[in-house]
Amino acid sequence: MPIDPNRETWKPGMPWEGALEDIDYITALGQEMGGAERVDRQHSGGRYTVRERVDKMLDKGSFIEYGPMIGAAEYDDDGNLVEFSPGAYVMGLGEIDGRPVAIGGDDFTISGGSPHNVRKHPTDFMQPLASQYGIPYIQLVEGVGHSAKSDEAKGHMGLPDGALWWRGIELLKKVPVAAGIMGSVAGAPAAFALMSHFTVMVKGQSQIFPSGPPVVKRAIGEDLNKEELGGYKMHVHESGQVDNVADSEEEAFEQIKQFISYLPNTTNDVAPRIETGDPPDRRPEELLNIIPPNRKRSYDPRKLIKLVVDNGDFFEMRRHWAGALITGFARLDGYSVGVIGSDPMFMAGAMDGWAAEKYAHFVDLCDAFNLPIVMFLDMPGFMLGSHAEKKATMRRGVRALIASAEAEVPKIEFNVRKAYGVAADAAHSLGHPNGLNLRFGWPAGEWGGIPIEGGVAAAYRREIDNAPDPEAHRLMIEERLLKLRSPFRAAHKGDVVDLIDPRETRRLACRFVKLAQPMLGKLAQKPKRIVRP
Amino acid sequence: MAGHQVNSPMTGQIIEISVEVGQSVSEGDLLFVIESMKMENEIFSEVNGTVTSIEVEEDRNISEENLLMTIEI
Repeated sequence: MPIDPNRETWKPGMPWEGALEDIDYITALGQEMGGAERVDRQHSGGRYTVRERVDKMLDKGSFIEYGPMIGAAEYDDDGNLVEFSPGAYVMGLGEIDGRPVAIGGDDFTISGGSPHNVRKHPTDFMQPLASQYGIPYIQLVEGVGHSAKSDEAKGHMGLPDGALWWRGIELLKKVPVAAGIMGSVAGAPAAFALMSHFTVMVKGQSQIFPSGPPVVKRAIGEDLNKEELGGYKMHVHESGQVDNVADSEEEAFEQIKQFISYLPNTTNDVAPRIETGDPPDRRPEELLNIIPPNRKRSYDPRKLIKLVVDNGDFFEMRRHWAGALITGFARLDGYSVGVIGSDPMFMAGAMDGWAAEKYAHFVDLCDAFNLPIVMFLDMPGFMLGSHAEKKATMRRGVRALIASAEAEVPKIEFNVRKAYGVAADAAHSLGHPNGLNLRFGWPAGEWGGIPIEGGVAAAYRREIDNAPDPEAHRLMIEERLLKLRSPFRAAHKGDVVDLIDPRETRRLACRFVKLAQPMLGKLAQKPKRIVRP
Repeated sequence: MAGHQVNSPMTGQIIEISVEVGQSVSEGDLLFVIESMKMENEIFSEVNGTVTSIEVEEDRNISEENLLMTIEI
């Protein structure tokens, strides 16, 4: 709907009906975004417009838009509107499953989402709204940041003072922040997107980088397309910069909704309990034999987790990065929990530098949002070898230890199989010094400072070397020590609260989470640290 | 026709090669077993295609990111 040049615009003193018509008229102009041609281009690229995105995220009819009339408006000498171009950002208050959220997104049909000369920015409304009302903040980002053309228009190149960021940083301390990276995102919009507790990108459609291919080629001569440079393979699988990938925009919206659903509205609240209909005393029979008797063999750890949690619903975060460690959210007896597990199918479940970083970040996240943590450990220790060394594995492992010590949320831990060395200690120590360290062992449980095989070779080296048959001597010592590995021996010493039938895992975990609720209420009152992305 | 490269996800020892050159494989088929961190780690195909080369043999020690196999998609 292009502007009507012959239309008489309402002016003060005219009847109110005319003003109401103009509200509808100008609002409708704003809804046109960058115009039919630009909207078509957005659609033909398989992408929704920002207004369609907001509609799909929110409960029907719940959107209260801030500034639908904000835009570049020109009036002639008679006071009639002759030009109108809306601001390149859409934002407001909405609801998801009845819960209020602040939501906004770049309008890519206007100057590619790059800010034009109209001031319309999330820091004006939706960031203060989320912060002051204590509601989750959702940003749907599709913009490429600063345009050199705007420097020319302004006549000078500005020296940024950082005022752009502090509100977004404050939000990280207060409310859940989730970002959908909806297209090519660079510069400041890329930083806004990553200033989040959860990020998701769309396969083949989203890329994120400080600067895109033309700038990269100019600066360093590297000639990559945008997908190679900043697509999901780079950032979800390889760098870990972005948490999750979705096959479609709809799936990305669904992931954001799920993420929000497990968290409270603010870091000073406890997540709402939802009736899931899954009995807390359910005994998953399959848990009994899920761990293979051959300790070199793997099993599906996600199956294990899903057998325990309510209705098998497990929302995993960072599935494709640092795969030895599993992190995600679930419910137990309707209460939200953070879940940490090992994946024996990936690097044997050993913690490398990335897994340690994933651990520390997730523990910080759960601690900030008062989510109790449930752990399923099968960790043979730190990943060894030069590749793991290059990831500063021990230093990052120390960060994991510190994250555990700083966290005040309660945890329950199931040692389903291996737990060796300092790496496992990072997980074991969550609970000290701030609370009970509730640890349970499964019959397959085996743990210690170092696994017997490597431990014997190192500690008894001289004795083995001097034996008439070193190989036989080593085996003899190993066999001697093997008897000590029985989890019963550790249970006699009180190293675990108890050894349990694996089928009791759900019942115990559900009781723990219920028991933890009053404590969570108290923790919620404390000031929180920022979770650094 | 693109050659999909299968690289080792971890450092360890090849203890089993489960396919042969010329064999067609589907996503999820077992390709290798690598012993590492005292575990038998199974490496599955991520694509459908035909095995065109196998770059390692059983008992060989390999490093993370070593090329193990090429699959023509």
